[in-house]
Amino acid sequence: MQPIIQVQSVCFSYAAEEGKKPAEPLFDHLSLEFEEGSFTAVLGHNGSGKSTLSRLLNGLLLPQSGRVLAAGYDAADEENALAVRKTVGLVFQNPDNQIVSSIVEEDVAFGPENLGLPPEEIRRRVDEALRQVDMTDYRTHSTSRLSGGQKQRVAIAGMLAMHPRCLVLDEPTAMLDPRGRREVLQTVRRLNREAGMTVIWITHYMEEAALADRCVVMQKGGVLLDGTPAEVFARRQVLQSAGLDMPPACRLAFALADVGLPLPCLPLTEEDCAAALARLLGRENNGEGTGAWQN
Amino acid sequence: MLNDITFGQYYPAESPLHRLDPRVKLVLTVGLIVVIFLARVAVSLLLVTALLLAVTLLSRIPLRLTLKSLKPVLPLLILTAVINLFYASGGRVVLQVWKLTITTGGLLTAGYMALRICLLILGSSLLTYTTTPTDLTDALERLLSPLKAVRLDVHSLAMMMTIALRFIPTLIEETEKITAAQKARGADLESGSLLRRVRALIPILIPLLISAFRRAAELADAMECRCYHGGEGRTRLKQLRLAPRDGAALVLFCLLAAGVVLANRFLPGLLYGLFARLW
Repeated sequence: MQPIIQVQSVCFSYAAEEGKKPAEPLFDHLSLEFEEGSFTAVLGHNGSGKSTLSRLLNGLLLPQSGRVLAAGYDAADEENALAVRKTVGLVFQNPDNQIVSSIVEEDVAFGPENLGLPPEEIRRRVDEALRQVDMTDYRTHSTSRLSGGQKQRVAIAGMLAMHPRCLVLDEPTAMLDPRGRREVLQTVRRLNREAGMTVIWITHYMEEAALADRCVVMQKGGVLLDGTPAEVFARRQVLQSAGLDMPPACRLAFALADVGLPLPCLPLTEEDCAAALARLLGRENNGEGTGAWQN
Repeated sequence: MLNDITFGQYYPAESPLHRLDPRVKLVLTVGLIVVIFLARVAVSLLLVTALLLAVTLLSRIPLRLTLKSLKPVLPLLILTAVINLFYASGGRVVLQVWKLTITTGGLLTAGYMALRICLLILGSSLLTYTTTPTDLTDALERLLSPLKAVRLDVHSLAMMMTIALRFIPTLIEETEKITAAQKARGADLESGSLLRRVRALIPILIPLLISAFRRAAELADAMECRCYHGGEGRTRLKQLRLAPRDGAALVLFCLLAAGVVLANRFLPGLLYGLFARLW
């Protein structure tokens, strides 16, 4: 199957955008692919290019060379602009700056209205999208009175109502409190599992990345690591040299390994960690288990 | 219901007036303003007053609240009344002090003018009390859409209004935050001369302005992501459809207008004559 998004040998620099002499390009022949239905976390420090990547994916920014294909459409082609944006929905960090209307349902309707759909179809999509993010009860509420997590869910619903095949979320939880972060993450994971939505989740929270199918770690505009969360977080040295942290469960596992108590496998979540610790304590009694996951 | 919109003057309630099509309400309000100024005789003014009172009762908005809307225009009200009192002439002289004369004509004109202003304010605030800002913007866009023919970008105007309304609470919140932050840094906003206090606002306004521009840029990106490309080919979720009650309201208004015109024509000076004879 063809990947839903293909980034092919992309070069990009902001200086060239502004017509200046490109000093050091941010992306130098970057290539990446995202499979349909996958949940990918993109990790990286500030300035690693992860936000720029999100804007390249839906054609908000165009590469100086190379191609970005969304469902086969080349974003650089003016005629494809609408098709690309319909395919790839982009949700930004600050929910306050992406809500257009004062009323929840009218804001969700904004995208479908722009697509010129008939009113009955807009109504159907708005209701469906609000149900998907569990905000139906707030249909007629004022957007300014919602909590951060609720606002972000409305912003996601606004994208869903356009029926995208891929959702790109650029640090959607960075401005939220822990409760709002949980709400948004759960909503998006459910969309991925139940509706098969392709998700590209850009974040610097390692715990969030641990829940993805695939982790891409970016550094200085390049891909540093790419694999399952277990593969990526096992590379402690590489992550440390990139100045990146690890989920708390992984940190504990490495700390235990350092003092000669390797867990049977690398836990990613707190639940995994609890189970692994239980097994470690059991091993004390029957003397099995290795630390083979360590690199 | 839209029960948590405190912005603007909207007063949420279930009433025939709330359910009226916003376009009809807007047109009727403009019509009402015209009729108020057309009403030249006492009978017609009383007619308008009676109807407005009846409609206010129908709207289920507390009378106290509607009267509150008169408060800001009170100085203007008094000023016009006083000027009319001395300058309008006609009828018998009631009082003469030095060069100032008050005539019965002056008294009546002053009274009429004050009543007109009151009716004007009450009538238009009834519109904002019973219609949400979004509905108003929507109505305005649709009513002005014929102006597209003369190349007026009605859609952009309405979109600007929608966005402005949406960002007012956000920017108020931000202003409070910046004010608190500047106060924490020792900014003194409350004391000193007027000039000093105005100058003290600069460290609040500049960050607010910068943040507003940043928000605008981000919003533009977000709107582009949602396939916004102007008003062309855009459809709407909410279709405004005229209901029988809208027709009834229009008929009622036409009756009022006709009543006012007829009273002006056939009952001039009815109350004035009584008034003059009693004096």
